[in-house]
Amino acid sequence: MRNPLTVLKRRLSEHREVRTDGGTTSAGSILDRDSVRSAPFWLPPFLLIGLFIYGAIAWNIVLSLTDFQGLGSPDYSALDFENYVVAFFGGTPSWSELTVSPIWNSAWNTVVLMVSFSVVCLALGLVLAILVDQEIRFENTFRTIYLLPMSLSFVVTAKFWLYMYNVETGLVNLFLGAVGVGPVEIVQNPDLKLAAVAFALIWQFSGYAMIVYLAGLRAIPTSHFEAARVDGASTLRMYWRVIIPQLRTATVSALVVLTVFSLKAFDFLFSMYGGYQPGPSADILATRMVREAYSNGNWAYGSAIAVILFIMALAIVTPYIYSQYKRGEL
Amino acid sequence: MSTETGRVGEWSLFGHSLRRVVLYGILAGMGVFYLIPIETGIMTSIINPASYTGSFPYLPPLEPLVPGTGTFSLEPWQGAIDGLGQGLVNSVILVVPATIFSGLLGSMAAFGLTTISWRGQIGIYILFVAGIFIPYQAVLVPLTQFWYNVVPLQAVFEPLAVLPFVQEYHWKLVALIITHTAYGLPICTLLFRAHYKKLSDEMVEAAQLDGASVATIYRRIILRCRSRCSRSCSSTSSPRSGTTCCSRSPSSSSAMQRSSPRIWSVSASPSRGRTSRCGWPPHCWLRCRRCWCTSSSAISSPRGSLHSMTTDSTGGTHPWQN
Amino acid sequence: MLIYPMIINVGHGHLLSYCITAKIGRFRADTHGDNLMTDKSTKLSRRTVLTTTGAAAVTGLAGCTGGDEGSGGSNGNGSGGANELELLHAWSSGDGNAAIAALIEGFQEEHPDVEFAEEPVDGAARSNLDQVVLNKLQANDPPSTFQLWPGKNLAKFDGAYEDIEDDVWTDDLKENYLAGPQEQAQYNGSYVSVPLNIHRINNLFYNTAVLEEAGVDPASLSSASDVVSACETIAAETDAVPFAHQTSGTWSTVQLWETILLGQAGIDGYEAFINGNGDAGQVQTALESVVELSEYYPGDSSSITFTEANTMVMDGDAAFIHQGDWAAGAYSNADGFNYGEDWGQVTYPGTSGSYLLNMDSFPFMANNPSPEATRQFLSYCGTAEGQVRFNAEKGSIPPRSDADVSALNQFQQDQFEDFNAADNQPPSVEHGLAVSPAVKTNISDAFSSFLENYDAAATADALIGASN
Repeated sequence: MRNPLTVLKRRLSEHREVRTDGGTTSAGSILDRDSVRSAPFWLPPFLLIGLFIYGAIAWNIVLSLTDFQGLGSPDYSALDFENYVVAFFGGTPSWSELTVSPIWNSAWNTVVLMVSFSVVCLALGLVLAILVDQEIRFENTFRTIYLLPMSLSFVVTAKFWLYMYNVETGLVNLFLGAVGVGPVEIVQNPDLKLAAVAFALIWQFSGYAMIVYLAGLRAIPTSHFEAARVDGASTLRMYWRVIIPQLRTATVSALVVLTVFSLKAFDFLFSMYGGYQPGPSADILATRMVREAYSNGNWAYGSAIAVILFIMALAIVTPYIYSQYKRGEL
Repeated sequence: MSTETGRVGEWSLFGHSLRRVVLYGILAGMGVFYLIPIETGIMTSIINPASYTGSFPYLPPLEPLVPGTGTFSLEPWQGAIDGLGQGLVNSVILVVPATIFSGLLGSMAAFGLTTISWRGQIGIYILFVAGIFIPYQAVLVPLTQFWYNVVPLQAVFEPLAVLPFVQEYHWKLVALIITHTAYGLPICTLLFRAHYKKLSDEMVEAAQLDGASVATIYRRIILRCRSRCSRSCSSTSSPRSGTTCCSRSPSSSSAMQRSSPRIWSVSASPSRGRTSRCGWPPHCWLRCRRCWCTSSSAISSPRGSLHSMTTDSTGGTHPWQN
Repeated sequence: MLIYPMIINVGHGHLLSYCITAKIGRFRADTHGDNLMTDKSTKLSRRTVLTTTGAAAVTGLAGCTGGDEGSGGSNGNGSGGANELELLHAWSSGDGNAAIAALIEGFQEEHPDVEFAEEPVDGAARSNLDQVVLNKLQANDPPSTFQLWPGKNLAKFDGAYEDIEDDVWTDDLKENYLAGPQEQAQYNGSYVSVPLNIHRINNLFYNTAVLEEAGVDPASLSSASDVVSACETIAAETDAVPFAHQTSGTWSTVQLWETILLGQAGIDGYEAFINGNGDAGQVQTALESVVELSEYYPGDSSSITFTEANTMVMDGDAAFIHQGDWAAGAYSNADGFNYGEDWGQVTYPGTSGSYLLNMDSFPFMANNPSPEATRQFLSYCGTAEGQVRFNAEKGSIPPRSDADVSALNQFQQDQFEDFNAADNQPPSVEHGLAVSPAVKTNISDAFSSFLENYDAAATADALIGASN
C-alpha cells in the first residue's frame, strides 16, 4: 500500500506528454504543465487585479476597523468594530466630538432605488424588445436610438434631466401641464426626488435591457411562436405564457447587472445636486460614503459604509455567478 | 406596409396595416423620448448665454424669428473648449493607454484561462468575473492612500518631467492609467473569453499535438485571427483561382486550382493534410486569413455543415509551424 | 446566446452596448434550431471588439474622468526649487484670476527674485481645493500657501501651520486690521494666516427700476419682515419675481438664514449660536422668515444656479437678491447696469451695524518648501498696496482700515466705509469661518432637509443639535 502522500505527490508532479506517434514520453517536470506554461498569460493580469481589486477591498476592510479621520496616517494597532456599530445604531465614535447618524435612511433609499430602477428598466426593455422584434424596417436605426443614452456619461445625463425637470421651462412639466396634472416641483420635492432620479436612470439604461431581451428573444426558435399561434393563443397570451418564461436567463443576468449598477449611481446624484449632499430623500449609500470620506474627512467611517455597500453587491452577484457556474455557462 | 404580415402570420385582432401603424408609432414615440434630452442639451449649447435665462431649453435658438428662444451663439462651445481643453487632453492621455492595456491583458488572460485547459482555471476565472461588480466606492479610500502614500510614484516621476510633453502632474495620469487598466481587466477578459470559446477545441488540440507551445498557439492562432477576421469571413465563400493569398506558395499552386471544396478533417493524424471549408490547404492559411477564420468558425459551430471525415492527401505543413 | 451583460461602470458599459449590438443577429433561428443564417452577422471578430472597445471606451471613459482633480497647472512648473513659491488657489477664471495675477505682479515688482509656481485648482468656491491640499499634506508635500477661508476652516488642516506672528503679523498689521478679521486669522491663539479681502454677506441688492415701479423704498426697510412685505407689494404691482434665489444647492439658503438670524437675534444671539448655545426660538423664527420669503422665489428656483438668479436681477426680471458682494462683481462687469442708477445695495434690513463677512486668506504652512519667499509674500499681502491691487480686480474690499480705496469703484468704497464703521464683524457660518467643519456639515445636512420640506421646527431642532 503506497503512502498516500507519496501517491499525491507523484500525481501532482507527474505530467506526461502525449507523443505524436501515440506513445507517451517520460514524466515531465512541473514546468511543463499547461497551467504553468500558460501562466505568463494569465498571471500578470491576475496579479494586477489581485492587487487593485482584492487587495484594495481587503485594505478597505482593515481601514474600516481603524479610527482614521482627517489628516495623518491610519493607526493599525487599535482595530475595532466601532464604525459598524455607529453605522447601524448611531452614536459618538471615538474619533468624533459630535454624534454621527446611522445609515438607515441611505440604505432604505438605496434599496428603493435598486428595486424600482431594475424592475421598471427590465419591464420597459422587455416591451421595447418585443416591439423591435416584430421584423420592422429600420430596426438598426431604432436600436441605435434606444442605445444612444447609454453612450452619455452620468454627469451629462444629470444636467440634461435637470433641464427637463425645470418647473417652468422643462419638458416634463410641459407634458404634465398638457395632461392636466399641472406644473409640479420635482427636483427638490422629497416625494418625487428619488423617482425623478430613477426615471432618468431608466431612460439611460432601458436600451441595455432591450438589447439583452432582444438577444434572448432571437434565440427562441420560430417554432415556439408558430406552435402557440396554431394552438389559438392571442398575441398577449402567447408572449405571457410561452415566450417570457423562456427569457428567464436573460432576465436574471440583466437584473444582476442593473441592480449592482444602481448601487453605484453616485456620479449622477453628485452632478444633479451639485455636491455631496443630494438631500435626505435621495441620499443613497454611495453618496453617503463619499460624503463621509471626502467631505467630512471621516475616512474610516466611509470605509465601513463602503464595506456594507460591497457586501450588498456581493449578496446579489454571488448566487448569480454560482448558478452560471453550475450550469456551465461561465 | 401592407405587404408586411408580421413574422408569424396575420395579427388576430385588427387589420395588420393598422397594427403596424400603431407599432411604428410607438417605436417612433419611444425614439423621441430617448432623443429629447439629448436634443435639449444640444439646443442649450448653442444659445447665447446672455439670452439663456427664461428661454425654453428644448427649442432651437431662433431669437430674431421666434421670441423667447434665445439667440444663436457658439460662445458656450468656445467657453467649453477653453475650460475643458486641458481636461480633454488629459482624458485622451488616460483613456487610450488604459484601453489598449486592458484589452491586451484581458486577451492574454482569457487565452490562458480558456483556450488552454487546465484544472482549476475556472476558479481563477470566477475571481476575474467577480471583479466586474465591485462598487468603486469600496476601493476609493485605499486607492487614495496607495497612490499618495505607499507608492512613491510622484517622486519617481519628477525626473521625467524634463522630457518634452511630459509635465509634473502626469504622474497622476500614470496612476489613473494603471488603475483603469486593472478595473477594466475583468470585463475585457469576459468578452474575450466569450470569443475564444468559439474557437475550435480540435484545432488547439491539434496544435498541441504537433508540438506548439502555449506562446506559439497564442501568436499563431489567436493573433492571426484578429487582424483579418473582420473582413468577409463568409461561410459560403469558395476559393477563387488567382487570388493572391496563396500565389506565393509555389508548391500549392496546383492544389489551389481544385474547385471542389474540401471538408475539414478532424483526424488526429499529422501526416494527413487538412483543408478548410474554403478549400485551401493548410499552408495557405497563414496568408489567407479569411479561410483560416472561416475554418475555425465552421468547426466551432455545432450546427455547421462540416463534419465529413474525409481527408486530403496534399499534406503540407501546418500553419503554426510556418 | 453568448451575451454576458455585465457593466462595471459607464465607460465599459458603452463598449458593451456596442459589442452587444454587433452581436445580435438579424434573424431568428429557424425551426431546426440551426443558426446558419446568423453566422454572418453574429460573428463578432476580435478586430471589431478591439475597435469598438477603443472607440466606445474613449467616449465613455472620457466622460467619466471629467471630475478628477483638475489641477490644470496652467502656470505650474512643478514643486521644488527652494525659491519657488507654490501657491494653490481656486481662481481659475474670471475676476479672481485677474486679481491673483495683479497681486503676484505687484509682489514681483518688489521681489523680482521670487519665482511663483502657481496652480489653479478647478472647482468653483474652492470645492476641490481642500481635497487637493489634503492629499498633498498626506503625501508630506505641503504647498507654500493656498487660498483658504480662515476661521474655523483652519481646523481642517490641523497641525499643518506655523506661527507667523513675529515675521508677518507685525504691529503694523495688528493696528490696521479690525478685531473680527484678526481673530479669524488665528488658529488656537496663534497667528497663522493673512486675510487678503473681505466679502460682505449681509447685502440686499435690488434692481432700481423694478422697485420704483412697485413703489418700494429700500431704505425704509428695517427688518426681515419688512422685506417680506416689500416682496408682497412687488408681486402685486409688477410682473417681476420679488426675490431671486436658487435652491438647487443649500449654500444660498444657509447664507440667507444666518443673515436673518443676525438681524433678529442680534450679534449676541448669533454668537451664542455659533458657540453652540443657540436659542431654539430665535433659530426657528429666522427659519420661519425664510419660509415666508420662499413664497416669492422664482418658480424654477430648484433648477437654476446663483448666476441665473443674479441675471434675473440684471435683466429686470427680479427685484431683490440676497448674496455676497461677488454678485456685485457681475453687475460691475455688465454694460449699462450701473451702481446707483440701475442697481443698489442696502445692508440687509435688521443687520445694520454688523458686517457679516467671509475672507480669503493665505496661511503659512509648516515644512514650507520656500519659507523665506512665503514670508515675504504674506507680508506683501498684508500691505495696503497689495490688498488694493487684489481687490480692485476682485470686487471685494481690503481688510486694512488704512488702505487707499480711491482706486476702487464707488460700490466698494461705500462698502469700505460701512466696514470700518461697523460695530462688529461676525464670521459667516456658510463659509466655514464660524463653526467647526463637523458642525458645519450637520448644518448643511439640516438645510438640505429644510429645502425639501420647509419645516422650520424640525430644522431648528436639527440646527441646535448640530453642535452635539
